[in-house]
Amino acid sequence: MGARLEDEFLSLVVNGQTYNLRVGDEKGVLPHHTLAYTLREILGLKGTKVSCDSGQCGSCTVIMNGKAVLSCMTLTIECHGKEIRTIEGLRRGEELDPLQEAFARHSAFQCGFCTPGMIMAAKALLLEEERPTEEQIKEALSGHFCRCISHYQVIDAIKEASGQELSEDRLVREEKRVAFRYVGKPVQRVDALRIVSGTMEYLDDIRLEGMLFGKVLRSPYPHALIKRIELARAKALRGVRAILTYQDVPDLRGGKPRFRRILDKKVRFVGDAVALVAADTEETAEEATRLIEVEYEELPPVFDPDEAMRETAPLLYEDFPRNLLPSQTGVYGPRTLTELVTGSIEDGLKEADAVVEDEFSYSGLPNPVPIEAPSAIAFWEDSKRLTVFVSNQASYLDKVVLSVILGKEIEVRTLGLPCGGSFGTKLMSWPVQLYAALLSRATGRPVKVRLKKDEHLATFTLRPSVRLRGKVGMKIDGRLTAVQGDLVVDTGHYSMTTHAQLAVGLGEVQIMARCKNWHLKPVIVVTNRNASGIVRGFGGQEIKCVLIPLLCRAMERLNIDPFEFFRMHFVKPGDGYFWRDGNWYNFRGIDFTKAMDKGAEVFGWKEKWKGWLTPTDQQGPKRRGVGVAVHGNADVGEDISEAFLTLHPEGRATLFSCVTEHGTGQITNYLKMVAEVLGLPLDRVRLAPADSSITPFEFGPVGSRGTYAIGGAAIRAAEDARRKLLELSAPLFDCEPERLETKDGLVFLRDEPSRTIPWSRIMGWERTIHGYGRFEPDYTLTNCMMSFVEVEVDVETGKVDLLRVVNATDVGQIIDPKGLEGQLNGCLGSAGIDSAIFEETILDRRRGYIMNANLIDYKWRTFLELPSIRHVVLETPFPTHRFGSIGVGEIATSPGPAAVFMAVCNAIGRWVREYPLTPERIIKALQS
Amino acid sequence: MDELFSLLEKFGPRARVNAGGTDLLSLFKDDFLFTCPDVVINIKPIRELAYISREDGVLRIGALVSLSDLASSPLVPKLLREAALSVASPEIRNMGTVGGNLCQDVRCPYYRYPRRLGGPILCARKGDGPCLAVQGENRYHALKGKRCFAPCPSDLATALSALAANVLVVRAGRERKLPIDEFYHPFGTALEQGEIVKEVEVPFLKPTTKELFLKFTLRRPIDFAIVSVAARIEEKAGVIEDCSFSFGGISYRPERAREMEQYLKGKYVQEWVIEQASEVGVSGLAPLSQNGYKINILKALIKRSIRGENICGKI
Repeated sequence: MGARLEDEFLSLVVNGQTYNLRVGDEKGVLPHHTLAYTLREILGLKGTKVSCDSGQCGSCTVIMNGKAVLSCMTLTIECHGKEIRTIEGLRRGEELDPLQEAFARHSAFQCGFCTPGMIMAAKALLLEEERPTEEQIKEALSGHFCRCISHYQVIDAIKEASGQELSEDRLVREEKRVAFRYVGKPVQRVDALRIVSGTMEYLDDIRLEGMLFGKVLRSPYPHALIKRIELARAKALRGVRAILTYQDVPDLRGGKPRFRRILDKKVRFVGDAVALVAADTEETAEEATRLIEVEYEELPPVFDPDEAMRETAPLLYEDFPRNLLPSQTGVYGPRTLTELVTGSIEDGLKEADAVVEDEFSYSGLPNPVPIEAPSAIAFWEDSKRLTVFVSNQASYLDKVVLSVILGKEIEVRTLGLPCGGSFGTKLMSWPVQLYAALLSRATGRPVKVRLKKDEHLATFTLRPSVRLRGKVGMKIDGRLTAVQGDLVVDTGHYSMTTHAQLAVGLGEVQIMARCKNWHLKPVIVVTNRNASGIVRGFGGQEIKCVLIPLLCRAMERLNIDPFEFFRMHFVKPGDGYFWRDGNWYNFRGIDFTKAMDKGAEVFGWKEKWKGWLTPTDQQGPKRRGVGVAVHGNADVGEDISEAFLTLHPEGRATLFSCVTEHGTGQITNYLKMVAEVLGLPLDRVRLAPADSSITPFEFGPVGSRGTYAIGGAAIRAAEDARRKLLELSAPLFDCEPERLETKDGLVFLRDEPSRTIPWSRIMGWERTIHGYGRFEPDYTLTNCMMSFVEVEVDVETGKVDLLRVVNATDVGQIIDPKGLEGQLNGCLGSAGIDSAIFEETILDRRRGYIMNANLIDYKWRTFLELPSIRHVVLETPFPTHRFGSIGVGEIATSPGPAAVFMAVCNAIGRWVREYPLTPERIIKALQS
Repeated sequence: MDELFSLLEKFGPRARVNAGGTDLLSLFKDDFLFTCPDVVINIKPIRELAYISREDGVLRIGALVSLSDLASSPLVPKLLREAALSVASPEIRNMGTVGGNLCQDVRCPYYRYPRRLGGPILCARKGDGPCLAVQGENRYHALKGKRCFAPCPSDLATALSALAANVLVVRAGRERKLPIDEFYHPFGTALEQGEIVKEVEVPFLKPTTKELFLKFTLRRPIDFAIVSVAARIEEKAGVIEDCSFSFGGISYRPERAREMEQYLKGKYVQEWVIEQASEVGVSGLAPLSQNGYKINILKALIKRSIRGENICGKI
């Protein structure tokens, strides 16, 4: 039954409790309220998460009368008398549902934003099928969007909750005696219970007194001047509190170089911000954007980077002739790597037995599109003090970026919340944060700005577009003698980090392939589209995607096995590379050959490899092909981390490190490391909030630096505190502090462990002990990820199916096997492997519209499309910190696309030159 | 029903009917039309429209049967069940209805371009200007069309077309029956002001009938068909006695392949016949700048459907 508008009350039974909501009252039910809105905003059940708000992602799934339904696409008014179950209704008192327990045990989540929806869909399935098959599980969850790739562990959790055997372990590791209490062992994440019970508070769950909602009016033109803006009608709308245009805001600029105004007289892409509105409700703000009248003078747009570089091309910015950004911005110091030049190309090509020349482009603009949209809440304590709630993997950096933009006069404080996925992108949140800050300044009230999914897809961070035209020289034994190429990098309407991405990417090519003679020269072009920027893989993935196929052409010529090529060329101890700052570093890491060999063995590379452009198998129209690629990054020890650590007399510790959980499980890992150093049970160690006003500097878990850099600072802070504790204890034992040890909040003599004194007696209750740790950059180590893939291509339809993935790496020491597996499974998400298959942003290159800004038309991998996956993880200790670990999470996505590209070309027996490999491109290649 | 008819009468074009809501709500959320209906009439509570029954040689499916109920009903031909199961996601199938699936609006990204991103965009379908897909991004657009190239998005329609089903539409005091192929017009459906879909009427199949629904998408599930083929084949000793084929993703309606059916009737199924049939099936299609590959896919699906190979997906 639905309620009738003339009815006074609507009755809902939610989690067994009946609610009578007044119809026609905004605190009750209005006709347009969705069930998701009613649950979250009226009933306060915020465990139901809203991501796409369009019925395309499954995150808002609840059970209604026994069936899983999407609460964002259900009007509350039609739910009269219905029985609804939400994530809050699964637990019985303190006791979790077995499904929730299984999800927690299996770390069947990463950022956790999609988890309540998945659990509800799984619950609905188990209500119908006590012991569902794997196919039924996949089917039931097939509409659930997860970019971290929690899929495999979710299937495990559901199987276990329904009393079934799990499939084979996907992590292939060698037997190793673990010498630690927590490190190396699977440990339930410290935030697991909050995630599975729906009580994890993301930014969208925060409610502040008097909070307003901000919306953006966006440009319909890719390039235009604003001639006139008429605000009167919008301002007259009840509930509108402020409207800002470029005329009302100071000339605040971001980007590198700093040229992008927060609001400008000129718009430079379809979707560019024209005006900001703050209002009492989100709807009123949106309604107001409709009432703003804008008159534009259209300018000719430019979308193609080659056209943009012509003398006659329309200019996006007067300061940048031919739309070229200056090559040197000094982002990593005065010698920042802007071009890779070593040896002599001429000599190298002379020496070569084969020289090939070709062109490849990775310009599909894939979008990592984390489930939680970019958002911020800002408020001003006074005219000089700004506080911003941020959702970002590196919340301290938001403070730094905003401080630079707003100037020294303003004190910025950021509060980092759990982040519903970022994959690097949310490091570019400054415009969203500034929108909230400016609207808050104008209204004197807290303002929340949350992009809708379409805005997220069409106006937030894309991968850079890269095209390489180049030459490669190779010896008959496969040795690389020269690589020369021009890279055209299209960054869209502005750049924040594109120079940095190229600097890192140019460093990384040397890690992948040792060669004496390099000359890679990039140019960065601005065009009238949404901006490219920071994405997992940070420049390296983009360059690999075009460079590896070029190398392959030379290997093909000389019939070199690509696995052997990568194995031979990957950086070895004693080699080195020019890194992002332009300096040379000698590599002091390990030899990854063993991991690569093990990967090849698990994949069966030798049996599968049949030579270039040769399918490994064919049946009817289906051709199979294999591919391999590798990536390594010296960012494992990049940048600065600092941490404080406080010991409390009751035998507890607090780590002050400005990190937020963004899905990697690293918070738990840092706490595990601290617990090891201090000999404390894990539940006695906690992390302070990521409040930039109380924590020290932290660059954040970007790249793969979390384990070595952030972990290193945490370990040092813990060691420092431990040393102070033992020094304080020494007089009580009448011995040197070196002879003392601490465990479980007790100090004792190493030689006489039975004599213990608790911390409380040593410290007294009026003292805390503080440690400090700092990590200084170390560019002498790199990680390594080799990805082997097998694909099947239907040569009649052009469809590419990914059948199998084997990743191989060596991480020194696993901190947490389940967390690590999650990161490696992530190769299938966040614009990784699938940027070779179906992930792309479709841009209308005549009008500038992004044509697939929704989660149906932007393609992402579903439960029904999971390939078989395995990860070979070796543990050869690295010279890092006491655990000998390095991070690897970031680069899981990076080699995959080039490996798929190779596999598809082998399957179809033809070279393709552009990503992604859509049916259209495959068919065209086959017809050529 | 009477109340519904009086409401439809009262509000006229200002009103839209809401069944599952999965398509209609996106109209409101994305605000992609220039005018927005200001009344929504929720018909979900009309339980008498949620039936599946067999009588007089036909299967009757009420408009408010959910897609998941349709997919799991043993009364329903396999072809139609598979089409239903291929739609969107399980949650959407729990919510979406047969009537709603048939009446959903097209997926053309120009047509649906949201207001939040600088839309709506004026186009032929909205009553003015050219079809923007013709000179724009048209990889998913129709291979046939005149002024609008948005293909019919309904998988059920393609299946029902091969089953030679009829759609029963009603309004106060009038019922009319249309073959499913005639239910679609280049710019919308055949529904007139005040009409709703009441029922779909599907003729019985012989137990020996071969039926297949092949849907080509980039991934399962969620996606709308890039190309689909629904086939009903009566075969005896390798000879096709009777058949009907319908193609999805090709034009504004499910495209019955009458010429190809004619060609196949009486033929002994063998590779050259299949090859020739696929040529006949795709004849007359005129691709736009980016969607020529759809012809290759269509040919492949035609051949596979005649051979009885369900290797398009694992549906």
